[in-house]
Parts: sequence; C-alpha cells; structure tokens
Amino acid sequence: MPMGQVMVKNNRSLPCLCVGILVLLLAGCQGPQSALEPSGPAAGEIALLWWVMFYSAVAIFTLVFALLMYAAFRKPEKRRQISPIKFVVVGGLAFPILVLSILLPLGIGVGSGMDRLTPPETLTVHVTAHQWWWEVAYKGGPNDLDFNSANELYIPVGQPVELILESADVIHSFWLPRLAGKRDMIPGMTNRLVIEADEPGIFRGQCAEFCGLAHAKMAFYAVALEPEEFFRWAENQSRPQPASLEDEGARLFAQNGCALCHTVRGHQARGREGPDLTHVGSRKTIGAGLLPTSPENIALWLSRNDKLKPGNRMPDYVHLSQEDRLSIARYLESLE
Amino acid sequence: MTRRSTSDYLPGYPATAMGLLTPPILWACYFVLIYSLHGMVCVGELENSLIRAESLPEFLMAVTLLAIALHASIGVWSWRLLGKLNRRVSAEPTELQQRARFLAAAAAANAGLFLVATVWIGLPVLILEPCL
Amino acid sequence: MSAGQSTTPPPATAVSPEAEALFRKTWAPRTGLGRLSAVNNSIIGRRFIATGFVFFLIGGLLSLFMRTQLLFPENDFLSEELYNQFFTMHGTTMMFLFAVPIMEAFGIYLIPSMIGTRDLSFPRLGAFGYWCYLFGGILLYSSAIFGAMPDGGWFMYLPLTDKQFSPGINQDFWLLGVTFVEISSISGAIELIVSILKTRAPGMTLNRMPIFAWYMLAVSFMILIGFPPLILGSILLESQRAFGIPFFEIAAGGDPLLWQHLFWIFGHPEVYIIFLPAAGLVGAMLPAFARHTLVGYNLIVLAVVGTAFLSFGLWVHHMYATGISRFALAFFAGASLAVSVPSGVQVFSWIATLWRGKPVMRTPLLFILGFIITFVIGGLTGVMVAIVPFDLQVHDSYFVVAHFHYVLIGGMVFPLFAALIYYLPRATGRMLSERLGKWHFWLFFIGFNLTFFPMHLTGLLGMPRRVATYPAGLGWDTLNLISTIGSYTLTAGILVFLFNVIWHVKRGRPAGVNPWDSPDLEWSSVTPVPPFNTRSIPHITGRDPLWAQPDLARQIRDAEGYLPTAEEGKREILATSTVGAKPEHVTRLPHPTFKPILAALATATIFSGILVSMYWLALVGLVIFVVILYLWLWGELPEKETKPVGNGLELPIAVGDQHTPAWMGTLTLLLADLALFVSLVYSYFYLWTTADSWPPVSYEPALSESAIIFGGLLVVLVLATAVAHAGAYLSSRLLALVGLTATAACLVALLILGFQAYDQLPFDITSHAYGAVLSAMGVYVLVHTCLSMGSALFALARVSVTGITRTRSLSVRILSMLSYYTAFTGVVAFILIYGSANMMG
Repeated sequence: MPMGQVMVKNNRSLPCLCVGILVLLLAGCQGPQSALEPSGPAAGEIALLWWVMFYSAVAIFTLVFALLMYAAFRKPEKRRQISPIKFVVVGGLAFPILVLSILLPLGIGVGSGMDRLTPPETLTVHVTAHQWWWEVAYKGGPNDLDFNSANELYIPVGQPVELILESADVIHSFWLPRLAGKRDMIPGMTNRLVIEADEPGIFRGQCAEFCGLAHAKMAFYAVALEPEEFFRWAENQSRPQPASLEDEGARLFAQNGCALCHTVRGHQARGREGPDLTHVGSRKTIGAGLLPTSPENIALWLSRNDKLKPGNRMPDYVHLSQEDRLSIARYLESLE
Repeated sequence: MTRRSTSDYLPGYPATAMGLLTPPILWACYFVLIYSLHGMVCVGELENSLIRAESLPEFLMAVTLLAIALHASIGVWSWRLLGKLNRRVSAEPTELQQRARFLAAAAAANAGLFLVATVWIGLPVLILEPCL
Repeated sequence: MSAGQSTTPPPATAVSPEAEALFRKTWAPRTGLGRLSAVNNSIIGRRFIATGFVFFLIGGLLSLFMRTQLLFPENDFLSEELYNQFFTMHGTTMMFLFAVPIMEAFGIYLIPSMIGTRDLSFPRLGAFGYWCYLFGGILLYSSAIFGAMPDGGWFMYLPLTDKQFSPGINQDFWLLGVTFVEISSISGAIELIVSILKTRAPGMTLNRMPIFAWYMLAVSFMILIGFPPLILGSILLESQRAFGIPFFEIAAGGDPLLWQHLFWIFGHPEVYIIFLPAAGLVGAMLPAFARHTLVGYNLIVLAVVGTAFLSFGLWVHHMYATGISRFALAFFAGASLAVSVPSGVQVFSWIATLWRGKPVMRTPLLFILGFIITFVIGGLTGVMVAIVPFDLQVHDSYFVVAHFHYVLIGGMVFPLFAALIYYLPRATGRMLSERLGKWHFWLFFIGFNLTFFPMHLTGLLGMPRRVATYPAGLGWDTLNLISTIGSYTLTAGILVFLFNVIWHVKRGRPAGVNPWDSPDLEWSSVTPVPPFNTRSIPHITGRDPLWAQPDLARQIRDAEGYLPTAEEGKREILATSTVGAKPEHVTRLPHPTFKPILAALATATIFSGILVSMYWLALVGLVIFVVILYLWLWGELPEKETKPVGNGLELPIAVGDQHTPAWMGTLTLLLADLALFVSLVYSYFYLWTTADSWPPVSYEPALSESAIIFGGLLVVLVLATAVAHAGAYLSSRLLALVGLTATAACLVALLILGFQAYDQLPFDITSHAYGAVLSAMGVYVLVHTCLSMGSALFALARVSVTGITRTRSLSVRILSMLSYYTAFTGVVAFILIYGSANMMG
C-alpha cells in the first residue's frame, strides 16, 4: 500500500501488548486506519473509553470464567456451598446494574466534540459521497476558500473542521477512524461531523456503509498539515490551471470526451459527473485510494479501470493506443 | 365445571398474570411516549400545543419521575404481598399458594428491572440538551 | 369431582389389545406419497429441524467462500459481484432460513411432549408453515439459477435496493422469498402460543411449566409483534419497486430511513428471537447434566419476560451513525444496557445450577459450557457497542462482525449442537458417539475462536464489513489469515458432527428410555418416540416431574393417564385452562391431509406471480388458496357433545366458547395483524416528522359525501355484527342469520365504496408519500373488509347448515372478532385521512 506507512508512534504499547498476547502476539494496534492509534481529540477519547471497557471486560470475563470452571469441575464435595438465589441476585442482577450504572453516564459525554457547535469562521468542508468516490468542496472559512477536490481531505492541525456530509446517490458512511467515529451520508439528509487533528499526518478513511458493487474500493486519505502549510496547499488548489493548448495529452483529453464528466478549471472541461481533476497531479492516489498517482497508473486506469474497480462509472479507453493513454496520463499528472 | 372455575381466584392483583405483565407494559408505554414526544416536539410538529421545545426537558423529567414512582409502588405492593403470602404458607404449600407466590415474586422482580431500565433511559434528560 | 384437585395418579385401566391397536393406527403416519400429507408435530418438527440444518450448511458454505476470498489482501478468488451476493445470502440464510426456523422447529418438535400432550393445537397450520418455509427458501435460492442472487445486504437499505440502483430482479427475490418464509414463522408462533397456553397437561400450572415453554411462549409473542414491521416494510418496498409508489423516496416526501426503522424494529428483537429459544434449550438440558433442578426458575422467567419487552426498545442502536440526535440515541443506549441485565441473571442461574449439582461431563454439557463462555464474551462486547461514541467507531466494522458472531454462534449454535446431540436419540433411538462428540466440540470451539476473536482487533484497526477485498499494509493481513484458518477448523468440527450423525443411525448404542435421566416429560416415552409423543396424558404435581414422580413415565407409557384410547379413531388431546391447567375439554385434531401442502403451493404461486410481474397468476393462486382455505376450515362436527377421558372425568368435545384453541389462534393472528397496522400508522407519523410538508401543499382533503357514508357504514357494521353475536349468545338461529346477512351487506357496501374511492383518488398515488401511505392504509382496511366478508359467508353457510347454539358458535364468534377489528382499523384510517389533514389545514 502506497500510503500506509505514515505512522505516528504513541505510548500505548503496554495495552497493545496485552491485546497482542490475546491474538497470539501477531498484531499491533497501529495502522493508518486504526481507531486505536488516535490522532485527534474525539478519537482519542473514544480510544481511552475502549481501553477502560476492555480492561473491565477482561476482569469481568475472568471472574465469570473462574466461577464457571469452579462450578463445573471442582469436586462437588469440596465446593464451598452457596445460597443459589443470593448468588444469582448478587452476580446476575446487582453486579451488572452497578457496573452499567457507572458505564452509562461515563459513555454519554465521550467524543461529543464530534457534534459540537462551531463558530461561523470555522473551516467547513462539504463532502459528498458518490458511487464510489468522494467529492470534497471547500467553501468559506477563514480565508474564504472556494474550490473542489476529490478523494482527499486536507485539514489544518489543531483546529476543528466542520464536515457537511451528503450523498448524491445511495447511503454511504464517512469513517476516518484516527480522527473520529463514523457518520452516515444519506441522500436527502445533511449530516455534520466535526473533526480535529492533533498532529500532522496522513490518515486513511473508507466508506463504512455497504453502497453497492465497488464498496470495498471507496477509500480516501486525510492529510493534516500545519496551518500555514495547509493554506499554501489551499491557495494552490484554488488556482485554475493555465491553458496548455499545445499539450498532446490535453488535446486527447478534450477529444475523447473526458471533459463531459470531469472538470479541469481553466481548461474547457466542466463535467460534474466524475471527480474534479484540476489538481489531480497533486493527489496521492487515483481511483479513490486505489493506486498511487503516476503516469503509468493513470494509463493503466484508463485502459483497465473496469477490472481494477468493477462497477465504476467510467468507460474503458482500451480503444486508445498505449501512447495516447500515456499522453493523457502525463497531462493529468502535470496538473499539480 | 368446565367453565372458568372459581379456584383460579388469586389473592391480590400483583399475583395474577396481568400483575406480572404490568411493569413491562408500563415501561413500553413510557418508552413510546418519550420517544414520540421527543421526535414530534423537536421537529416542531406540536408547536401549538402545551409542550414546547423549551419545556421539553422538564416534561420528560416529569414523565420519567412518574414512571419511576409507578414502578416503585408496584414493586412495593408486590413485595408486601409476597411477604404476606410467605407468612401464610404452611409447610406443604398448595398448588394455588405456590402459584401466587411465583406470580408475586415475578411481579416484584419485574418492577425492579423495569425501574432500572426507566432510570437508565431517562438519564440523558439530566445530561444532554434535547433537540440538538 | 374435578380431577384437577387430585394429586394421586389416576387408577390403572387396562387397555385391550384391540383398543391399543386402534390407538396406534389412529396416530400412524402414512407411507409413500402420503408422507406429504403428514401434519403431526413429531414429523413436521423433524423435517423442520433437518431442513434448517441443511440451510445452515449452505449458509456456512457461502461464508467459507467469503473467508477464502479474504485469505490474502487483493485476492481475486471471488469477484466483487459474487462476494456481495454471497454475504447477502449468508446473512439472509442464517437469519431467516436457519436460525429462526430451526429454533421454532425445536419448539414445534419438543413442546407437545414437554407439556405432556400429543401434538400442537393446529397441526395443519404447522404443516402449512413448514411448506411455506421450504418453498420460500427454494424461491430465494432459485435466484442463483438466474444468476440474480440478492446483493443488497441482508438489511436491504434503500435507496441502494430501489429500482434506480438495483434494476434487476435480485432484490425482488429477497423481498418475496423472505416474506414467504415469515408466514411460516408467524404460523409457528400462533401454534406454539395456543398450545402452551391451552393444552398443558392437567396440573401443569404456569409456575410448573418447563422453562423451555416459557422461553418459547415469550419468543412466539415476539415473533408476532416483531415480524410484521418487516413484512410491512417489504410490501412497501416491493410496491415502490414495482409501481413507483414513493414510500421511501426523498423527492416525494418519503424517507429511506423509514426502511431502517421498520427493518430494525424487526431486526433487533430478531436477535433475541434466536437467542432465547437456545437459552431455553440450555435450561431444559442443564438439570440432566448438573443433576440438580434449575436454580432461579422465577428469576429466569422474569429475565425472559424482561428481555422480550426490552428488546423492542433498542432498534435504534443499529442506527447510531445515521445522524439522529444524541439525546434520542441516549434513550436507546439506556435500553440496550438494560437488556443485558436479564442475560446476566440467566448466566448466573446456569452457573449456580452447576455449582449446586454434581455435573456429569458429557458432550452436550461441553457445548453448554462453550456456549456460556462464548456468550459472555459476546455480551461484554455487546455492552461496549451499546455505548454510543464507541459504537460510532466500530459500527459496520469487523468488531461488530466479531461481536454478533459471538452472540449468535455462541448464543445459538453451541446450544443447538448440544440440543441436537441431546435430542437426536429421541428421534433415532440411538446415542451419538461421545468420542466423536469431543472432537466435534474442540474443533468447533477452537475454530470458532480462531475465526472470530481476531476480528475484534481487525475492526478496531479500521476494517469495515462487507468489503470484498482489502489492500495490504493496513495491519489486517495476518488477522484475516488467522480468521480464514479458523473458519476451516470450525468447518472440520461440523464435518465430524455430520459423520457422527451418519454413524450413530447404524452403530449408535440404543438409547432406551430417558438415556440422560432427565427430569422432563419429553423423555417419558420409549425411543424412538412414536408419533403421538405421549401415550396417555399425565397429571402433573410439580416441576421436574420425572424426578418428582418416579413412576410417572411408566404410567404415561402404560396408558394410565387421561385419554388412554382413541375409540372413535380420532386424534385427541386435552385442552386445559390457561393459568391453572384445569381440564376443560377434548380437542380433536385433524388427520393427515394434503390441504396444507396445496395451500402452500397456492401461496407459492401468488409469490411467483408477483415476482415475475404476472399479476393474473398471483390472482389465480389467491383464488385457489381461498378455495382450499374454505375446505380446510369447514371440518366436521363431533358426533356427540361429551366423552369420558379417564379417571372418571367427562369433558365436552371442542366446544365453541371463548377458550377454544381456534378462537385463541384467531386472536393471536389478529395481534400480528395489529402489529402490521401499528407499523403502518408509525410510518405515517414518522414521515410526518421528516417530510417538508405533510400533507403536501397540493393536497386538499375534503370530507366528501361518500366519506361520510363510509364512516356511517363502519358504525352500522359494528351494530350488525353485534346482532349476529347476540344470536350466538342467545342460541337464536334467526337472529344470527339476520345479523350475519346485515353484516355481509354492510361489508359489500364498504367494498363498493372503497373501490370507488380508489377509482377517483383526488391525487396521483405515485406523486407523494402522503397519498401513498394513506392509500396503503385504505388498502389494509379493504383487505380486512374482504377477509370479514369471507368469514361472514362462511358463518352464514355454517349457521344455515348446522344451526347455532351458544356452545357451537365458533364461526360467528370469529367473524365478530374480524368484523370489529375491521371497523376499528377503518375508524383509525378515517381519522388519519380526514381528521389529521383538517387539523393541519
């Protein structure tokens, strides 16, 4: 995987070791999509809640297991005698009621940052899910941004970002485990999710609600940058591409109908069906997290996208020569 | 003699099949009431009625307290009846006495369980803002 | 004297060899093609369990394909298309074709012998249910022949499953197949409720009932209330797909989330509908192995009743991520935690039972221990996912997959294997191998944990469910590899079991009588158990009857109980009072008949007609069905009023007063029907809260002349029915006939008005969800008008031919029930159509 290796270590090695032992010491807790390696306050609180519940559950399980084994295997004549009804009332009724009465209020407030009200100057990003990609639109915010992107979500570190989640077709779910819990994207409804990153990094996210044929291949990357870097990035993204009429790839792009579905701001392409390609060259992946961006991969996508991601709405360009496909790919890769 | 016989008589409401079912039915009514009220009030469908969004928390709180009080009184009622039945029982309880004790005990326990359920469901009224 | 008071066993009465032969001939099953006409529970129950197990193997095979696909990252063993079809069918099969039916099947198979009777109250309904189940399953799987298996997930969320995004016939197979199968669940539930409440052996009061009967009673009520919301949802979705009626269409005032609500109002109780019977089986088996009576019987009954109610208050915990306000979610979090308390009570009762007893370690007990261990883990993770913020992380991830497999396999498949090993000797007369059983257990237990335990972590590391493939490098590779290895180990365990079953039929040690020394009545018989289950009906004096009354099993077998003979050549059981189990009358049960399978075939014709959009075919099926139903219900009247049942007791034969099983069955059916209607009313109010304007601006309701007539007719209908009812009460044939004729006339007028109203709808039914829901409500009332009409004609024929007396008035009483109910739904629909619109206007 191209992007997965960007990891930020943290100090949860002891709990991870415990889980690790339980799953035969074969896995850790880290990963670009791991809820146990939080990089934001909401995910952090939830991860903490998990560890609290995990240790309590291990303790309770051990207790019940021990009682069960004692009851089933200890020689009857050597057992301590109990009052059975008292045993059931204390263990099965009073104990759970006590534990759950503590857990319930504890759980209600956790991660409420995901739903908090944000001041009007907060950076707002509209994420619209399509079968099977993500339209990302920056609107307003402190620098009055206004541009579209796709399949990548850049955010500034250390400040809340309000996501406006919508769907263009079926139900999808926005899940970026390292920053927050998931939220569904339902046609006709507008959902909100406030995310925040504590540290710079690249996090993987994925559609979490089954949304049809290519559901497994609907991923995205979130990139958290220091605020100044973020605004440099945003400034670049706002810029339309300078005209490049003599470029062979641009000509083929226009000639083969790509512009019917894709937008390249500054060029003649204004289609809205597919992802905005204005700065596709600057993105880390193509095909909604499928392949690292490179001329070869774009050319491969042009010829075989139906094999790479069955069901996706883009036609195959097998009828083009490999050179033509490479020209288009090089043109797109140049759109940084 | 095949009609409903008088021997089905049992001492006190909690020691009937309906007594056993009263706490859960009460809980179901409570649940439906707060769920639908919250839904309707928060989308503003009941604007012209007595309950407005501002007074919703107080209203939900009152309903919850009422439900808790009802469960508690059913619990106490069944518990007392159970105690009375236990005192009255001889060494060899008759079938009817066994049945009455069973039903009263189940009613008391049910009242307790659904009291807890009501407290847990009503808890967010204390903590969270409704309609957000 | 009343036999209810006697605690001594009835005196021995020698049964002559001729009488014994006649009794056995009366209950003997037919051979050859006549097998298809079997109706009694011992045969239907066995078929049900076997069919359910076959579907379990098919569903398991699908999951093995899926696990093989997930063996490596970016594997291409299965295409995305097939993977999506497989996980949809895996979930659908396991839930609808395996778990619910096989648990109900255990109820059907065991309940009569557990409560000391011979058969369920409605044998033909049971047979009809079985055929509906089988044909429904075949209908669902016939999609594979057309390469069009459902692929929208077992939860079928809209709009993915709407025509626009799923234009093929795939989802129609699901909607119709599953609805067909649900008919079977509901008919089974009605049978079980009435049998448990009305046909327990004398003396078996509510508090002496075997614990499994309590569980099945609660579960049956849950089915009656839990399944109709999904049936309604399926009907609405199918009409949206077929005719574009916009119940879930945002642009037309509908809401796709309405489907999720209807689905999960069914879907959450469903989990308990699966778990509770399994827990009941554990309760039934545990005393035999612990050598101690079940501890905490009263508390367990409380836990069962509590779970049954609470499970209806948690459905939204499947929808935490949909954007519902945190405040509303908190209600459901509270209820979700509350439901875990009864589970705690049960677990501790089982442990206490073992603690107090002297456990005998046999294979079923191993599976019970495995069940408790696994289920406790599933319960603990269940508490975790009930907590809203944590669920927002793990919802729809592999953590949840792990959680519910712990609850479902742990909570239901482990007890199922225990029960199969425990109860197969009842059917075959031979014991399974203990040694193979141990292999089976350990392979299954280790394989299960190897498969599903790592999934907790896979999910926390971010792997979503229902993905056909995954990229490498996310930390999921090794975990998936382990899970796949585990799934093959688990399969090996199942293969050992299959081998054990085949082996034991030929080589197993003979089981004899009560091989486990169980305290319960289902083991009173010789093995293999004859078709009548219970040779003679005992008098019960306490719980654990076979331990408490050591001679009881022999007395039952030697025909020393009630109804020792069948001198008229009729299959007979005793009906007793609901709470106190006092003998009330003798109920005659039907003999083998082809009507159930024919009725199920007619139903299959209806569903196939709708599936391929040949609605005339569906209509033909309906007509055939109605004809069969009439023949089915007509029946013959008993040749005498009363008969002696033994022990000096003389009882009426199947009297027509309120306590007749048939009357009670209709009442329970109406309960399910009411649940469907309430779901429809819920849909109306739900859409009211989500639609932009309700009713739509263009819609102007007017209280027209025909509407007023309609309302008036509803009142007249009630009065006319009351006259017929009075005729029955006063044993007046004339009054009854007058009342029935008036009722029928009234119903005809209602039907004409109703169809006219549909002809002149003031709006386009496909334009807005408001009109759509109200039309659906109108259709509901009209369908019930037709039903009442059918019932009125039946009662008219019945009263004309055989007259009416107070105790022989069942047809009129059932008509009254239907007619009052129709009037009630008519009034509700009337208020919603005119009242609410005027109020809003």
